[in-house]
Amino acid sequence: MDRARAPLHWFVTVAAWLALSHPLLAHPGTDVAISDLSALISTSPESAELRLRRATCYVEHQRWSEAAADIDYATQLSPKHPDLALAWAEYFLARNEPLASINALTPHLIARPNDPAARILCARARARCGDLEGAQNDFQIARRHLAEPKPELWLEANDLITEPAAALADLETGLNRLGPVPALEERALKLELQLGRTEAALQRLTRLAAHAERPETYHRRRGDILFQAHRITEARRAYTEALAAINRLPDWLRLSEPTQQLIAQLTPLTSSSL
Amino acid sequence: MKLPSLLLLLAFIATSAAQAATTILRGPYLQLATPTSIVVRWRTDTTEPSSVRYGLAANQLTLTAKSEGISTEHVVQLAKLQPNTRYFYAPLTGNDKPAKPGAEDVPPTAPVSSFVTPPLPGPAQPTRVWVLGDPGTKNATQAAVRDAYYKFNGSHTTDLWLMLGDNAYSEGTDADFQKAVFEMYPTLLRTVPLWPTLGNHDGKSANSLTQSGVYYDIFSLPTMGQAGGVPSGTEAYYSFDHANIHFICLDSTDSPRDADSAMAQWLRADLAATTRDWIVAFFHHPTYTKGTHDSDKDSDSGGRMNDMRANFLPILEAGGVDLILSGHSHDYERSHFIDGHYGKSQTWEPRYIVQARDGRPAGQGAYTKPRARTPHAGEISVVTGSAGHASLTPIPLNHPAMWISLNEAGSSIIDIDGLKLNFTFLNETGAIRDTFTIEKK
Repeated sequence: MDRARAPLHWFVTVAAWLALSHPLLAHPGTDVAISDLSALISTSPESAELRLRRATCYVEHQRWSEAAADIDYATQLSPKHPDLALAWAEYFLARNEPLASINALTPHLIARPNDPAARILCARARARCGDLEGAQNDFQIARRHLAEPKPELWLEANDLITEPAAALADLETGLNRLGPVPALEERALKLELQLGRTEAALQRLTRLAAHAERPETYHRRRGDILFQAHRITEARRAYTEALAAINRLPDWLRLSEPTQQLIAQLTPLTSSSL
Repeated sequence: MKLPSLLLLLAFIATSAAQAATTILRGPYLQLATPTSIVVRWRTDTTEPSSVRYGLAANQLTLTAKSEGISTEHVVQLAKLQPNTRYFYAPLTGNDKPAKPGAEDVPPTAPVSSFVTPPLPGPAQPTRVWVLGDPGTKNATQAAVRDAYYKFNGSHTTDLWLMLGDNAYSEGTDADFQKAVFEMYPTLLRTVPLWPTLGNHDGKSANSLTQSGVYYDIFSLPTMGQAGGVPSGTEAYYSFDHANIHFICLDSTDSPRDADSAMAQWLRADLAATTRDWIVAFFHHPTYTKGTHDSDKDSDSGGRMNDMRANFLPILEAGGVDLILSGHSHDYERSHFIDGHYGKSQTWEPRYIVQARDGRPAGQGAYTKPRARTPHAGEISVVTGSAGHASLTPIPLNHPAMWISLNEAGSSIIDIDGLKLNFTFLNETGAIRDTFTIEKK
């Protein structure tokens, strides 16, 4: 570097870093993030990380040529950077080119077959190609290698299973691993009913009611299922259990407007004329 | 040298080496407090077993809790504790290896700290909560806000504290957290459980889908309803109980936010299940703000503020929420006592104000709500995102939903005693700049 220009260069570098690390300025939308990152890159042009981060922002803005240029440049700077394949995969997936996305990930997955982030991307790309079995396999590997797979991930993978019984089995595995998460339980209940497995659906609701601080709504849903199955006596019993659960609530909760409405709905359902 | 003497010398050298070797680099800090358990975490410079000695008196640490394996990141759960009880504890470092085999009663060399287990959920108990939004600047303002609270609090007990995201600027790296959290609040961390939520800056070094990265590595949060509430299956969003209060943490940063998302389904179930008197929700991106962010701008923060207002606020209000806390805007904005406003500020109308007063008992009067859980009975939304800095430049602060808006650094304090909630905003000089009260009858 030209000695005369060195102080100016360092001043600009330091000023840019200070400005961009300043919390007041290092914020909002992707457009701001792009300009922030561009300023950083101008002072640290050899950083592959910064190029990849800006590429992600360009992808969000669908500025494809700029995104590709950044990933290309990051490849030149750091050919073995572990995030290169993921960056290309995200880029191609966003452009709705899932095959190219899979191709970008293949060498990475040979080297790191258990990388959950890469497997999730690959699963999404395979699903886009219609390869549901391959996608499920990738999701399963990702879930297996995550200490705590999130419910959202479980549901995304479950969406790909077309056979209700298999989907239900997959949800059961999720519930065993994650606990009685509402989104998984609700989908499992829906599938049980879709499969005509009334008893299993009822058992599921009974289990939920047993652990709930306010079990009345679960008993009510049991009643509704039984009623639809023309099991009127049992339905009446379930509605009675719901009322009993409400009666065990402290006054201030039992007397609340929504609970009073529920009591008004349940009371006629418990009568023998039902 | 005879063999016994040689062995003795080797043992002495080994002990000395161990004593010289172990330094606690982080913590201890308290996580995931329940009436009968708590998680103690700390970091050492050398890999070693994870053990904590604890007991009911500082000089009687007669119990030991351990976790499997050896590590520099120590996570030990103390179980079978009594609710609402003070315990004393100290991590057992390599420096504390018993002088004789089987001698477990040597005093620990790490300082003895203490905590009080939360009371059983349900019955009321006076509770103080310290709330910090966007604290993690590591600068003098953050320290001033901290010191102002310590002075305000005096010898009063802080029962728990909340961090509303952007806990460690600017990238949420481990080094950022070390400076902005662990070196900023060491005393409180080892004595009072901290419950955080993820901010956008923390999110730069974390991934909620894979629950990986610095934020998820540092914090132990409930996924199975261990501390009360419905299991969420994720540390990204969770709930917990303290006495007669139900706290709900949402992830506005990095989890799907549509109205039928797993987080929304969980929130509905969680609200329907709770029987606590008070419901306090917290997340990073505010539903209303005209501060360093603008909740009217679709492009601001990737639409997260819109999502929280349009998709989550209706669920919270239908579930009877009392208080909503957020940060992100580096200022203080406190709403009227409101309900039902889910659009942008242009669609605001006075009819959304449930009770038009200042909320101050000595002024126009406290806000009142029925104790019976009533949907849409009114809530206060507070943006308190200036625990690390206020805006250096003028900001609009003109959202019509707000009763008061201040461009000042500070933190917030919630005091709940039975059916009365007192809220205070304390600026960095120690001046009380806003208060309000909600009473339930």
